[in-house]
Amino acid sequence: MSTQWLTLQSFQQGQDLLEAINFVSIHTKLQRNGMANTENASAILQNKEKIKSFLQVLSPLVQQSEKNPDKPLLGIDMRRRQLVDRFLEAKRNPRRFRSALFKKSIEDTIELLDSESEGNRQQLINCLADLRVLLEEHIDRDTVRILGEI
Amino acid sequence: MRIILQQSNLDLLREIEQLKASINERHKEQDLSIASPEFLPYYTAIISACDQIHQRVLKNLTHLKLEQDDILADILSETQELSKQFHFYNRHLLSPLMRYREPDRLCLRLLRWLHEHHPSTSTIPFGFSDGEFGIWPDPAIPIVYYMPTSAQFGLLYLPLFFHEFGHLLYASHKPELDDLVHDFQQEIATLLGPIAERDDAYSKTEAIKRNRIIETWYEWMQELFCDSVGFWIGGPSFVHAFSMYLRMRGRREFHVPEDELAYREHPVSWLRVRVLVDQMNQANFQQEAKALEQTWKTIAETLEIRDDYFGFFDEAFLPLIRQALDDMLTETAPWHFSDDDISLEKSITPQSTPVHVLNHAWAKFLREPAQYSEWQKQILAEIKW
Repeated sequence: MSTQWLTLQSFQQGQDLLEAINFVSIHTKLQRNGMANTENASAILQNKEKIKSFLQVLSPLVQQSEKNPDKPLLGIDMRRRQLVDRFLEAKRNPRRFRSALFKKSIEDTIELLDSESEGNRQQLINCLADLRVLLEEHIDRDTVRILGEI
Repeated sequence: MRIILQQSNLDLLREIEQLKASINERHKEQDLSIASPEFLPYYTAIISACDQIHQRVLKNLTHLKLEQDDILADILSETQELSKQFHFYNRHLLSPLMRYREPDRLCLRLLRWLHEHHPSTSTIPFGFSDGEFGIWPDPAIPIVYYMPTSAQFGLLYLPLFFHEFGHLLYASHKPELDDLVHDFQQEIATLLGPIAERDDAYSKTEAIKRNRIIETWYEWMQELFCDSVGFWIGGPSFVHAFSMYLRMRGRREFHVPEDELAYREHPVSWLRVRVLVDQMNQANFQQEAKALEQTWKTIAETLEIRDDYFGFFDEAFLPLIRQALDDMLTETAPWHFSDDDISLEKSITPQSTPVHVLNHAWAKFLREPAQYSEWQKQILAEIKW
């Protein structure tokens, strides 16, 4: 019996999240550049909520792993555990991951998503860019398993 | 970069339109609404998914026209993700539509029955295709079940879909089931004892091994849950199908080396049988449980294999596994076979449930294998699931 279900779930969750990140990032940049808002408010909110929900789930796992690196992470699948490890590795690499998401805390990024302040826009854009790199690298393995290599 | 992205998005647009045209062409040829009404929601869902990807590509092209350089990286990511999504549909989700043929209806009707008998799956579109038994179980996208070609024309291996359906139930109740698995893993951790406080190499190695065991049980519990769902829905028919399908697949079904057990997505099949036997005993199928246990033991003895799970399983885990599986079944509440469904005295009628037919099929095959094919032909002509 096939074991592809784990790969698919990881791939699909990653895709959903990347769609939301790209949406919010483009919207925030266009807003910053003074372009007319073409997106409806509920779509903006929905995509921000999607990112927030993901970060709210990720945050306690990252904290637990940081505090007790020798303890196992329970109630989550292998791919999610690997994502937590990848996040912690990124935190240890400030030259590559320079945004508040990795330099400060996940909660700070959640606050940035809620913020309407113009001053916070650039910070949010940087956080989203870093999160996107993390996720794209993470789901690369799933993509190869699902789509193969040419 | 803008020109590169424009070209790629236009190419994607063209591919999507071409694909939609061939799907529609196929739909016209087959007239699915008449040929296979159970398949129509899947067709609609695929067309709708193509439309959504199409919309997102158009949006990329609109954004490109804004001539804002700082969004090019976002559009690049979006285009890459859309390409992957489209190729995923193209490669995996299209084949159920394009390969559709009349004999598919047997599997599709069973799957419709299965989906309709659970509130969380009744509206989820599904298709099915050739391959090793499996499922793409994400309720957010159309579901695809897989089955080896030879098995699609008969009744005997249809109960294995009940296991695959378990994956969909898990995905549909993920937060609740993850919590139950979390509690189960916590209990296993307690059972395995505290991590030694000593700061020596031996203690560290032991702690790593202990953590691997605990973490590996997340995936294993999902598989064992799916086996339980299989038995809960299909009764003995599932057990026969499961055992017959796996028992001749070689030594790895009985024994896996220690270094390959950690983070393995499936428990060793012999261990799955052990848990199934326990479930059957709990449900008062002692005789069938004993026969299953004996069959696997006989094969293992002939192969000269001893059951050894290198600490990944211990007898003391069994009550905890039993309790967790019971809780998971209570939480997801799959359809459960009735006494009539497993009664062999009760004849098959057009009103019989699929489970009743499948249990009869296995009884007939095991009792009179030479007459089975003829019997199956008659039954397939009569059943009206």
